[in-house]
Amino acid sequence: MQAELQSIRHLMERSTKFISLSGLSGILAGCYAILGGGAAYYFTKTYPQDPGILLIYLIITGVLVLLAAIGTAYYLSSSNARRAGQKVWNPASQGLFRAMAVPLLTGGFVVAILLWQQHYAFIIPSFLIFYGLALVAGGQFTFRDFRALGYIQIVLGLIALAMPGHDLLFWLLGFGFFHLLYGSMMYFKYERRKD
Amino acid sequence: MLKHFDKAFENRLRLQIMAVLTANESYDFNSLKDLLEVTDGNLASHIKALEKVGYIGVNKAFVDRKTRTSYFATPAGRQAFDKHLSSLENLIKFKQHGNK
Repeated sequence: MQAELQSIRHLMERSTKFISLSGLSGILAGCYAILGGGAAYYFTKTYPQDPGILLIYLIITGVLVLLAAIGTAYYLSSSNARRAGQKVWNPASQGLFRAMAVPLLTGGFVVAILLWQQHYAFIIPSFLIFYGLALVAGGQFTFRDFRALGYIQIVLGLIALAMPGHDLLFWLLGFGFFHLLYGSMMYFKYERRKD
Repeated sequence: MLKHFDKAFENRLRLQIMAVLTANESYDFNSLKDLLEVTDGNLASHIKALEKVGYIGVNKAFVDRKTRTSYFATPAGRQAFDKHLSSLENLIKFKQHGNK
């Protein structure tokens, strides 16, 4: 009977939380961010006299890193879901998506406006803060650790805002290192034992 | 001790349906079917039974010209489910402390 009660609790948890979210995709997102950071560093050293070209290269790098990270997360999570015999688009993942959409879209607009208004120094800090808010908002629909990663990104974003001129460092820390850390924690905690 | 044992939850699947619906605002038929890994007919019959006692309600909406049926737990259903769960817990505690 205790097992029965436990299975009911487990079911309630499973129905509200998207547990197929892949830790491996977090690791890869961290790698993309670090590669992107390396590319950004290379561009700033190569085109210091040409801010127009540099800006375009940096934007392209950022967009590529984001697309790669999102694509990888989607691909690996859906294959995780399939392995568990579940659909990737279930009420929990819809909730996750919806909760994250508002802070992410708002953050996207803020970054676009900052670019347009040429407030370049605020871009990376805003990015970190809104991304962190999105993770915190999505946290109730997936692993609890997701929210912790969100708080870290928010704090890093605030520090980055207070310490201008260290954008690359905070990018590498927030999107690179902490993604790697979170992704590996998730991977060893939840994914590896399934294989 | 057993006065809160609810006949409506005698069946395991019904208890599972109720668990999912109390944990969520609402849940649609197909997602419920995927989650619980049961057949259409089996799920439908137990949903109907829970509907009949007033523990769950139905929402029908049109999405891409198809009906999307989703269910939600009524206040009465939530209350009954909570009572049932705590009576299960009490029973476990009772057993662990030995029969007095």
